[in-house]
Amino acid sequence: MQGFTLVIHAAPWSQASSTAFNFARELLAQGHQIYRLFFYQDGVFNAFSYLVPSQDEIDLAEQWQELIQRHELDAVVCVASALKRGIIDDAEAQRYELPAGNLREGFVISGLGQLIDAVIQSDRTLSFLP
Amino acid sequence: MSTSKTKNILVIIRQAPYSSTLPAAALEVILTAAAFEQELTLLFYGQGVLHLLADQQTDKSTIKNISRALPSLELYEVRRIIADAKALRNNGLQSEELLLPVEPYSPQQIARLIAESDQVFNY
Repeated sequence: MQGFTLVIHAAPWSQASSTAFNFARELLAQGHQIYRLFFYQDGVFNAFSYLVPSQDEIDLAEQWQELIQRHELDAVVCVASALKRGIIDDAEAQRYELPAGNLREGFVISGLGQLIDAVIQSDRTLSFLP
Repeated sequence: MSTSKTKNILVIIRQAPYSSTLPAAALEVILTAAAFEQELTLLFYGQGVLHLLADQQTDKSTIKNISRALPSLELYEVRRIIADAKALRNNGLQSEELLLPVEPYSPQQIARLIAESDQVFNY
């Protein structure tokens, strides 16, 4: 049993990211395994550490981070999607001579191969599109 | 990365060309899955069939045109390239206008294809 992979295509201000989050939380609550979370396209904004939502709004990116760290989930951010949206880790910041990385802790930047690996290894892969 | 497992992966392109970046994402998924030697099927569905139209002049568009990459899919061993027959008809597309040969599928055949796939990516 390798469990589930969730592919999140939606930014944290989109309902689809919230649905994916609730689904992930419920999977874990019911004792299922999560093989990987793969953040693709606008989904990479869930891994952006510079988001400052209004005080009366739920900080979904922070909730993702908390879930990922508490359960030690493998949370992969697509490198091509991330770079084109300005989301970078410290290594990429150095490579492109940008002032600093802004990836949330708990997330890792990697390639699309991680998505295909997840499809092969997981029992089920579900996509959440806006 | 080597793996002993092979899955039937179906990628569906539903968005019209130049409407969003999803078709380009679909193509990226196809090419990456091909590198993992998976069984691949690509389905052009609904407005997605417009990607198949040959001779698209795209120099003025800011959105990447994936049509140019489509004829090379055979090199990547994409097993089947299928088009929604109804959408081809609705858009007045004749087979000689298409930039690569496709198998036209009825709604029933498409339903069966989806049911038989291990994994569906719906873009």
